[in-house]
Amino acid sequence: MNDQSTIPLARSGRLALAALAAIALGVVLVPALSSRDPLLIQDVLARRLVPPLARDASGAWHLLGTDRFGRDLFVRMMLAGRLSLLVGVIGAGLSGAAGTLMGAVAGWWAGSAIDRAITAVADILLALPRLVLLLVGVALWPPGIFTILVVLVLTGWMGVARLVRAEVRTVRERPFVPAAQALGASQLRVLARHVLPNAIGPALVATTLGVGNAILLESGLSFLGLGIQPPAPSWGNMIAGGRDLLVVAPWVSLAPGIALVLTVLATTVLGDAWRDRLAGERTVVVRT
Amino acid sequence: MRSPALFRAIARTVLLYWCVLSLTFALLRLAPGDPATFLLAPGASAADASRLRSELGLDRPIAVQYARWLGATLRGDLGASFVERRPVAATLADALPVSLALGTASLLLSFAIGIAIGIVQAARRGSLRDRLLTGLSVILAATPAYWLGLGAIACFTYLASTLSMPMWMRLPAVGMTTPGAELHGLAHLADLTRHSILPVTLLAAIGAAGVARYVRSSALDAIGADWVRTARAKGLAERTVMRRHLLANLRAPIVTLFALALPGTVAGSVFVETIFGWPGMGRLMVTSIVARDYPVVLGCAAAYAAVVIVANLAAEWLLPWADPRVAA
Repeated sequence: MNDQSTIPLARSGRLALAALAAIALGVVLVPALSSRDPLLIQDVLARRLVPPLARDASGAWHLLGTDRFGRDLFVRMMLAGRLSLLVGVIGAGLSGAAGTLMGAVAGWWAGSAIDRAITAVADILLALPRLVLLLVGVALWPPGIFTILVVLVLTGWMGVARLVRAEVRTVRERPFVPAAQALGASQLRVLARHVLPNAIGPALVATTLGVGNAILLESGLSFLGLGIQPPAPSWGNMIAGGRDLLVVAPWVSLAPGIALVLTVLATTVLGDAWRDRLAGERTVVVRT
Repeated sequence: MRSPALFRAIARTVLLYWCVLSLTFALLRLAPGDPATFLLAPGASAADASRLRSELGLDRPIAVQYARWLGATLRGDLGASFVERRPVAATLADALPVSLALGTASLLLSFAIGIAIGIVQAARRGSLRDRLLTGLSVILAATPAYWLGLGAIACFTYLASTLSMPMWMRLPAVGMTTPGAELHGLAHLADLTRHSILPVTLLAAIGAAGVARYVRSSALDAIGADWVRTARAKGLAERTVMRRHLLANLRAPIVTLFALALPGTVAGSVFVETIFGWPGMGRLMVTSIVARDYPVVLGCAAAYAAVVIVANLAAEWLLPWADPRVAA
């Protein structure tokens, strides 16, 4: 394994990692520590559509203002972040794991019937735009987090599977594979302990980039009203909630949108930096 | 491409499309509940349900059901919409041209802009301009189309009227044409163009960001090649090196990218059509999901798959033209 890397992550990557850590901390702590209920609707007239950095009629101060039902936007946005991050990380993580499994099996037994079956299924699924598959999925099953996760995983494993398949086919030819086999290791052990650790780098990078993509897709579905259902907040349905308030209260749509863009941006920058480091490692290996 | 290769490509495409259609059938059968309830308008009576069941042959073996469904689909019979009570094929025929026009216009624009920006970036790698444009394209790639669209609507309608900006800056935000206005000829075209500016620009900007990133890295690969050094050594102007030699070598990656970019355009158009109220496929799909109009949903999915698969076939067919080494 090449984990003992001497090449550091680029500064942009470290910055993105710090931003993601801050966002994760925020979404866990803010709703837990705040005394305000992000779901409860009370005294709408006194509290609704308070602009950012202002006090409502009862004197409570709101960092990002309030929405049309007088709920504090900052706390709500952080609670929404929990769902969005959860769906993004679990959705992309499970797709990555499924893709790695499929790709490893297909690459190790390349040319076999199971390889051809996996490649064919991936080709079929890639022939449909992912959003269309997601839309069909949420149309047929009841909306909610579970449906979104299942559909994200079912439509998201193909890219990683292709990457891992190609990597495994290359790594399989390296001399340590017959060496391990000569020592009597079983096929599965060689694949899992020797081949996969050397083939998994690009898959991890693709999965990191997939987190941002999954967050974008979830928020898109929620924006269309087909994802996470109100009153549970998601960045997507919060933006949709401010859609007809663009003139009177633009901050209602603006705040969750900025949170969404920053989070997706951070995962993209992190994934890019990680990929560059991986590419750097590989050129170093070739040169020595 | 020689004809046997073309024939093989077409055969593979047909096979792929058959698999995709079968997938939509399978999804409908895997969904919880009786398919008759999916295919029957809400409020239908029990008698309607049992009639539909026998019509669809739901009491028969699954293989028979599949064969009948496939036969009807291949004849272009996609069933009837519950909401509009007209054949799905007719509804799709209305919506598809709108989406194709929107998609083609924005795709062409995004490729024209994206290729130019990508090459400009690669020509001066690491310069301030390169880094600024990279930052912009990464941010655009992370921004959801619908949020950007809402911002554009706010800017060009509400903000423009609050700041009392000139009339031509207040762009219409909703619909393809001005409702109720009976315009013909040039006036109609001008009206359509004004309505297109926001949605097309939005889709093109997001698309161009992706194209620029891809072209930049392809161009950087190519600029390091020996033939670029040779072209420079023989005294060609940098401009000629870029235009004649680099662009010719970027044709193949760009054709490949075209097929890859199409699903993204489809996804973008779903949101853009919804926001701007364009009566295209994306909006049709979303409204029919909300209305539980399953025949239309599945018809849209089949049409989307057809567009993407045909684009892939076209890209495969164009590749030998773009890169003669492929044909050899």
